[in-house]
Amino acid sequence: MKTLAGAWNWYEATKRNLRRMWRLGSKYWAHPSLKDASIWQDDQFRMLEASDIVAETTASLDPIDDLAVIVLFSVFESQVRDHLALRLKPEKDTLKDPILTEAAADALRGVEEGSFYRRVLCPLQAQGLVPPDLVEQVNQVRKYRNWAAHGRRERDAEMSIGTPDVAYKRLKDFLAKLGIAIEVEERESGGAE
Amino acid sequence: MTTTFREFLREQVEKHQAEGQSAKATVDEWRSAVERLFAQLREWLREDDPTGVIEIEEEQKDVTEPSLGRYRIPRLSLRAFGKWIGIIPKARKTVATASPPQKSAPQRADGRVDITDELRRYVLYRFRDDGRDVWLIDDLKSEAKPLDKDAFERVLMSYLR
Repeated sequence: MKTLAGAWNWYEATKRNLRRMWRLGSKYWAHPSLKDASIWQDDQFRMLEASDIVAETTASLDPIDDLAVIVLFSVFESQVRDHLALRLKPEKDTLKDPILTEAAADALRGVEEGSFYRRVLCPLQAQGLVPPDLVEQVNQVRKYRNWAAHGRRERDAEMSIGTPDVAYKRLKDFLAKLGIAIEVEERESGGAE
Repeated sequence: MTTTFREFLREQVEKHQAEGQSAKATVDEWRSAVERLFAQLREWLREDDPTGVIEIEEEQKDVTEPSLGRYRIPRLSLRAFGKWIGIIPKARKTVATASPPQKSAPQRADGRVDITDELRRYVLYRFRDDGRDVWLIDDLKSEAKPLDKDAFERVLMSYLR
């Protein structure tokens, strides 16, 4: 997964298929009408009980929304960093004064490896490239990602971002403001039904 | 039109009530069968292990099955020599098949309980014969055989050796 749209397609496809499998387990799996079906000759399925399908798909579905936010934000972060680094590098290479070269190198390091909030989000807001409310919304997604990735400890009210749909929309809007092509990546990674 | 809809609702209520009662009866009967099996296994263990080397713990777990819904059923944990063996009811309406006694064609069992240490598995199939339970044990390598004390002891030894 290299793009936000690719990550979103992964999330939707995974959740959709887990829900289908859960439904198969909870409603149809051991139905007498399937007794003579060839599926029971397959070693992957012949000892698989409905209760296992339900238990395992439930365990997989429980953290899927949090995992989606983690994955969406990771891909988004790397897209933003790559985009900005690509913009900075040619300008850095034209500088001759050592002080300016060093400052540019530091800025580039900050964009590539520094705090995403302080070295990327704040400067973009300060430059007026992204509206403050959108920066704040994306920062909430970042905080939620950190909270989910570190075991959901000490939640505060700011971390309420609702569902991954909300996170996806905010991140997509942010990419659009930076001119990162969303339409193209959506076409390239369009998931199959 | 209103009468038809009212009729439809009444039929649906009756249908759901009948299904619910049937499911409850099936689950109750399955729970009783598992309790009888566990009582037999405990008795065999008491005979072989009067001093209680093997620690036995019984707990209730949730199981979800199509048409039966979610229900609670006991499971056993046996612990000895730092090892764990679970005796776990997997399904009343199992997809697993075996040939019941005096029948050559495999058929779906009337219940399945697994004996496992999470690495290896033996499967107990339950069939009903003249109102009593007949349990077969399957090592998943050869044909299922009747469950008796010898077979149960062999299984435990294979895990505890």
